[in-house]
Amino acid sequence: MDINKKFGDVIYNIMQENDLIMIHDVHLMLIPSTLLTKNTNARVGIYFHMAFPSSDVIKSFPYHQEILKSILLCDVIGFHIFQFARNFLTACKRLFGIFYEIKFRGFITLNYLGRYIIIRIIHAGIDVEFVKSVIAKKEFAKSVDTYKNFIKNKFCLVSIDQSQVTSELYFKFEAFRRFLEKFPEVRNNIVLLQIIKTDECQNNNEDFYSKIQEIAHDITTQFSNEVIKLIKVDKFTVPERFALFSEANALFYLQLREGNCMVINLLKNI
Amino acid sequence: MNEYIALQHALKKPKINFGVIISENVGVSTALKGPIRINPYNMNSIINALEKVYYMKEDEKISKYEKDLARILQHTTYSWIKNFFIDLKRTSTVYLIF
Repeated sequence: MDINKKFGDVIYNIMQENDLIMIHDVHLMLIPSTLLTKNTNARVGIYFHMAFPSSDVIKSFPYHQEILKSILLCDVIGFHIFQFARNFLTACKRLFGIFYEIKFRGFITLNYLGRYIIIRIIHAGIDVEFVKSVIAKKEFAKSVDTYKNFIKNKFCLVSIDQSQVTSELYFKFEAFRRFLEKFPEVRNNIVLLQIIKTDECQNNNEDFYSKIQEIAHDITTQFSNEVIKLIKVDKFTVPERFALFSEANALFYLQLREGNCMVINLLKNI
Repeated sequence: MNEYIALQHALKKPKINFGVIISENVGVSTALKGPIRINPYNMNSIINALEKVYYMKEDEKISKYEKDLARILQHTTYSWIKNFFIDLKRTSTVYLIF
């Protein structure tokens, strides 16, 4: 709340009449309430890059009323896909009794305190120009070479995950092991490159990583071949990721819950 | 996932790779048609998906890739921001009431 208030004060100081303000993601959900209590003309929109939980999950959160009311002060609320928007609409219906209407030209609107709020479902894409600019960098060529050393012309599955339980790495490795047992001919010709990003906020990083390492070690000894390659990194930059993707034959993602993690790219891009 | 396809377009490689296995709980999974969507706890479906990706034919890869590429080229970051701000501008205008 304090941080949101600070952000809100800064925006309020530089803002002019009839400005359009766009807020990104869940961390800044309370800005509208700090901003719009100051009697301004500005129009505020918020966009969620993450998954929006269902109404039961929201109810279990202690300050859900304040947060939802703050979101409802916006004029436009954007989501990636309809599933998240529906979760939000259901939460509004069950907690505040606000029903949504579908208007002319397919707008989904909510009527809250006499104002119409537009719910917008837009998927943020990626620019090819941006990708080209990254490829031209030196780091890209450098990291392509390092990954080529790992792969050695094998069929390469690639995955980048946070070091957390919901990445479902146990299941991924178990499924991969069974796949190799079922198809013995692919054993010498496949490699799973697993990047694990460590997060400073989490305490059980080391335990998790050592468990994962054990499982990976078991599988590699079982097939007497380096089928799984674990790489632990603190930071994974955009050129590095693109280098990895450029060498990948397939992506292999099994997260339990995830939105669309492209926020940082997007903001650099604009 | 979008990056993966856009990257191949930018690199202009002679051989196209198009294998994406993604959990159906992930938000991006519904954005494109090409990826194979699976439940992360369904072991058999993961094994089938891995098999399908490993033995996928070139024609299938190219047809899937071209369909998704067309969509990516159409929906850029710029168009996303533009649409959002257009909506923001026309809120509380008259024709929403109809």
